[in-house]
Amino acid sequence: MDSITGILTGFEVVFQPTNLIYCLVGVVIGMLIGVLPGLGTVATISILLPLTFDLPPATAIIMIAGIFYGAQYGGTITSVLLQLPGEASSVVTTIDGYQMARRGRAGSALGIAAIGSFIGGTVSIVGLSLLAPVVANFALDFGPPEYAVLALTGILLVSSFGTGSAWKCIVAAILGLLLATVGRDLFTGVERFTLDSTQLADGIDFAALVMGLFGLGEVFYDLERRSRVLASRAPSVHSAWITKTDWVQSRMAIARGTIIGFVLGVLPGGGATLSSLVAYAAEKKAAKDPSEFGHGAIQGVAGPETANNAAATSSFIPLLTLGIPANATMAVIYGALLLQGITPGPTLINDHPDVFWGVINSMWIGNILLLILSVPLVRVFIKILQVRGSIMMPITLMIIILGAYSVRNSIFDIWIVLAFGVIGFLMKKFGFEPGPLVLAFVLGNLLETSFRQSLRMFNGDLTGFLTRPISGTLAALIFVVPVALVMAKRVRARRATALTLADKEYEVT
Amino acid sequence: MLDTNPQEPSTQAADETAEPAGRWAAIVAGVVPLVLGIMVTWQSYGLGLGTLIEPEAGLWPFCLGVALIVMSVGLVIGRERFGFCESFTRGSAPVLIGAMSIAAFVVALPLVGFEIPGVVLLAFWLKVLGGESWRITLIVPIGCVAVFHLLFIELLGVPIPFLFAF
Repeated sequence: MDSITGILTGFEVVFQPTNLIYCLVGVVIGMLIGVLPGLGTVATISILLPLTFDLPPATAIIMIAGIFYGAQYGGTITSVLLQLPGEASSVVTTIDGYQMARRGRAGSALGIAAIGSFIGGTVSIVGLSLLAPVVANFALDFGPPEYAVLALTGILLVSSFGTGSAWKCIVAAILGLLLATVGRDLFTGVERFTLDSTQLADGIDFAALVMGLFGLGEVFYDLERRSRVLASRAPSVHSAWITKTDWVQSRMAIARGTIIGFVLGVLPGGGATLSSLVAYAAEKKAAKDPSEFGHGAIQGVAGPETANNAAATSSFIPLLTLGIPANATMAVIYGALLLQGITPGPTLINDHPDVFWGVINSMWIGNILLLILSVPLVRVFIKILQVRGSIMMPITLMIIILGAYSVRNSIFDIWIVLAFGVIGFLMKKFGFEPGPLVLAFVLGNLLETSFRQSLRMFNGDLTGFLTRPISGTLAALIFVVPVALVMAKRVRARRATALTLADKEYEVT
Repeated sequence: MLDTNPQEPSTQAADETAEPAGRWAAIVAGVVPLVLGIMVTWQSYGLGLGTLIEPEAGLWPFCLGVALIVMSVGLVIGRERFGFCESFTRGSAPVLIGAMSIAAFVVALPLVGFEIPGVVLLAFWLKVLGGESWRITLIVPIGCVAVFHLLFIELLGVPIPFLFAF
């Protein structure tokens, strides 16, 4: 099927009234939960996962896409108004966004973020529609060795590009891979690490794991933090809309952000975060007066917000075509697809065209709904922001507990949520990112299965991975990228010292 | 890593009040995964490794266990070089109490249904952990449980153990 028929099929799916309503509901509750300080996109999707279980696959994914966009914008609202980024990709937004809010321009900041996100997302979706079928076609020839190396590359890249220490991220990823081995071995039927519990024989439930790690873990973390941070007052905002000057000032930033976001988003490993940083740096370089940055420059909001949304959209490419999630958010969406009985990968486009194109188009619809809703609803969400955390947190807690139960109607799953909530809290305290753990957990089975199948193919010869062209190239990448990163850091450090030395000499002379 | 604003808040921007923990925390951060790695390796060995051509159930977790041991030893040696641990404060005690209150809720759930433990759990979080007023402690839990009852049991048909039916 060519792209155009595909896109039309997708619109047919998305424009069904039920799907539109679910997308709308998704955007609204995504924003509602995402606006709670501390709950980022991943946490929001994790908490709301149970809502989608009883829906048909295409509808479920459309709703998740809605939740995803809503949650992302919810995070922008808290970044701008409270300087509390929901996740790493909106950290840069806090720099100028919060300054704009302090100068009474919160409405412009929120408005340009919504418009930039819409433009970045739309262009990215067009790119995705054109590029995804090509990548999927290429990936059809992939065998177990390619998948083994690809999954491993994905996990390692996410660990090294993620926030926090790369070493600790890899430790977290190994823990995730180990958690994925819990349960019956797919090849031999032997039970592994089940602690003689019948409930663990089928493995750890994905939804319970993410709801605990991200949802409850955040609740605990907030509970602790509340004793240290005084509640901040959100500044008042009348409407999220921009003036003509705002648009003139930021349109180039939006254009640059779109391109940066789309390109970097395709790469595995926190594309959205990286692209928002790069976009911010690019805006600072392009600006006539860089000193405005950090004091409420609208380009400093427009560029990164556009870029992270464009990247979030293009990071669907590796997920939908290769079955490799590029970051923690995609890992949760991957898990949601698996729970629906759909395995993302190169065959998805032909096996489930309604899902594939439905997802792509629902992103666009999600973006439009977001743009329409963010203008009138921004006041409502700010009202929610003003509800004290000590009231919102217990309610979130209840949603998590009952939601976790409703997935499999199992009390055991609530225990799993509680256990992972505590683990998630401790991981954050000890500087381990939960993102790589979840990513490794969802890729664990794919990695182990393809690794063992490859060993059989190669008659136990490990060098087989290196002699096949694609897996060999990817394996080389695993070695080259970390080395290149370390080298780049060294060179930059040396240049920085050289510059300071030069400055000193200049001062002396 | 990139040329961004020097004032750029770290990704832990929201936690700038957190105090870095001492070297003991960094050692614990390495020793816990180390012990876990040793246990996994031991257990996987017991599951049988097989050969590279015919791997048994234990081979893959064994490899992971070994990797975990190697990485954790690195953590113990490198300590603070591998990032920052937050120290535990007086604020950490509510987390423990909070977790225990959830455990109590889960124990009570199959015995008496979710309504009464739900109200108690919410009230406990609001009053004891949140320091809210009595008025809120009375209104919010009852309102919430009523809404959740309608939503999960009556509307979505989730078979949560419950006391009352409408």
